Amino acid sequence: MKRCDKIIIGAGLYGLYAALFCARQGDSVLVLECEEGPFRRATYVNQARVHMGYHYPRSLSTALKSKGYFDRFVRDYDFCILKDFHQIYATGARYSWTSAEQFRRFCRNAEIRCEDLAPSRYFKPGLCDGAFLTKEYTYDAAILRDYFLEQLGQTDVELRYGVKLSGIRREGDCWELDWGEGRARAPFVLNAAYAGVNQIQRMAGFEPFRIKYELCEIILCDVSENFREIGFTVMDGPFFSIMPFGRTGLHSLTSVTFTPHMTSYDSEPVFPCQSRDGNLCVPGRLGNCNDCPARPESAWPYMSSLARKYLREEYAFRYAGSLFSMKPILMASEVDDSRPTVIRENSREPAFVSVLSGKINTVYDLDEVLRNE
Amino acid sequence: MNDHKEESFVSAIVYLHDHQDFAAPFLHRLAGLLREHFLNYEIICVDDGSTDDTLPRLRQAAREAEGCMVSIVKLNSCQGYEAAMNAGTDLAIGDYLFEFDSPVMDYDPALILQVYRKTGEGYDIVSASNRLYKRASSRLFYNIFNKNAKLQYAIGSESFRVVSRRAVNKAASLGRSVRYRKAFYANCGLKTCRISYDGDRALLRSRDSNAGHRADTAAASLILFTDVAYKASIGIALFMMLATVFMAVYALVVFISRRAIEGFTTTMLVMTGSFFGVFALMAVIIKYLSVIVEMVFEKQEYRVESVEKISK
Repeated sequence: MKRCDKIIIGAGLYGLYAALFCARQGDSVLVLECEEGPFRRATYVNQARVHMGYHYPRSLSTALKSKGYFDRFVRDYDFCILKDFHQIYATGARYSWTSAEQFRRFCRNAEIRCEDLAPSRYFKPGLCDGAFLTKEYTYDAAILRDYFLEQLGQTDVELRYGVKLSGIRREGDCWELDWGEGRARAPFVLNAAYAGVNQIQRMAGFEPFRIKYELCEIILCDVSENFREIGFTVMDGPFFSIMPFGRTGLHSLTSVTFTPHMTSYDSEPVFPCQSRDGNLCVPGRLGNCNDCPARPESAWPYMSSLARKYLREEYAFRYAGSLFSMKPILMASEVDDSRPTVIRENSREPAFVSVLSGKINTVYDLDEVLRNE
Repeated sequence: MNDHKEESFVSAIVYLHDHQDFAAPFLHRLAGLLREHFLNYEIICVDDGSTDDTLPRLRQAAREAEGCMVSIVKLNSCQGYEAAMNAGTDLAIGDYLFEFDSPVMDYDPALILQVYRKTGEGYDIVSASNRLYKRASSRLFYNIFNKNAKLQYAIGSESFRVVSRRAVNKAASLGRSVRYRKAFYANCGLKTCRISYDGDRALLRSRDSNAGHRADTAAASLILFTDVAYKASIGIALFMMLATVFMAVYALVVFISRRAIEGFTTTMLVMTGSFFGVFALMAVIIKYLSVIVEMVFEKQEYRVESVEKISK
């Protein structure tokens, strides 16, 4: 039996950030991860956008919060961030919930950069009513991962991979966690399992988050020379985004309509593909969609057609690969499209805290719950 | 297998308004044809405020359509064919767009493919028209229209058409919403072609819906593309001027000969005639103004309640 001050479930960004934060304040920390390495799922498989708030023209509060953490994140993790490209936001002329004028006003209210560009320079005629030069960056998950591993290597944090938890029990003033070949106990547990958050909630006997799950595909593209230093995001409806993917030299292509392949409204996701993957993934224990043999066929024909419909011919892109991951979305956020970071303190003494966030730069929200008084 | 299929991404847009009996069979046939002959495709159904069972039946059929992306655009009220079709084409992402004016399929599905293949011969717009469809009001409209509009191509009743992305972009580059797509396509400078077929007689009566909106579109397109209304109003105005002059002369004669009472009937006739003329003129002018207002204030010309994506 291993004893420590804090156990963290999940070695994504939130998990490793928490581990480092706690180790630096002198805690002994154990990180349990079901994958064979860190950053294997959502931290890696996403748009790699460091949000400045532009995404939330219908939720000023979410925008302001993203903006607040933007500078701090960029300062702290500068080495993994790609800054020198033009991030261009555009508002769709049809089907957009936000018009060009509303987007301008929103940026003014949020006090974020928004310079008018001629839509005709980038988009086919009549499709976008506004185009704006903005300030937004992208991070490289692989570099960030190596940084965390290196930093954690200088502490005595223990990282255990391939851990499939089988039980979480309260034993006096501690939580006791079981898995196949081991057991550990601590007076503090952080549930940072993202898409797996509800399976951990259930094991510990706490109420699940109200989530819907989307099996999402990010397409990686090679782009033409003139496109390398440009990212496009067309808002605010059934549109798309194609922007640099960290420092990989590739662009990520995503779309509101085609990135989600399947949706599950169950508390823990149930998908038809789970019956075809050879038991790697079951409703109570989510596998890795990216490595899965039953992962869906790429939506490249759809996403590329959508992007080509809008972009002028000279911005060319080619298919380079697909990444898949499971994305949990809090049910409360549909109307205003906000993406709150939820931190729930399920119990104190022993403490069991769960975090669910769809954004990388709100990781600092954790400080408050992790800090020892 | 794949090398027999068409490479282009096609979007099929279907207009539906109270078509509960036709929605599901149409979707099944269309999906079957697209699956067989196209690598990449999507179907967009635009429900123009149906009040019958169209929508639930459509949803059910979309769920059953294997391997097919179906989007259902629900307009929040009945807004007419042109607006609804614009809502569909704005959402479509294909290289070629099929525009189905109704889900009544009075032709063999193979005709869809035949019409599509015609684009390979350099036509940007290819339409299919039912030879047997001969409604008196439509015929009258097309007669007046074609005589006066002087478009590159004559237009007529159509069941569906395929349009290239180039033609769609051309519409967008004019910066306005398409008010009357057939006339626009016939006059956009791109090559157009029509294929006629003999439709199923049993279905002849089923395809008309939404008469009010159709009449409105007809009036608006006559004003936009022809000078029929202008000529008519000038004619009315001239006639009324003559009538007024006649009235003045008559009044003068009566005044001089002092036989006022006897002219009452004539006076009334001229007055009612003139008022009729004034109102007719006003109707034309109001229609002109409304069209101008619509074109100046480029508003959202359709209002969508929801877009639902169903795929398997």
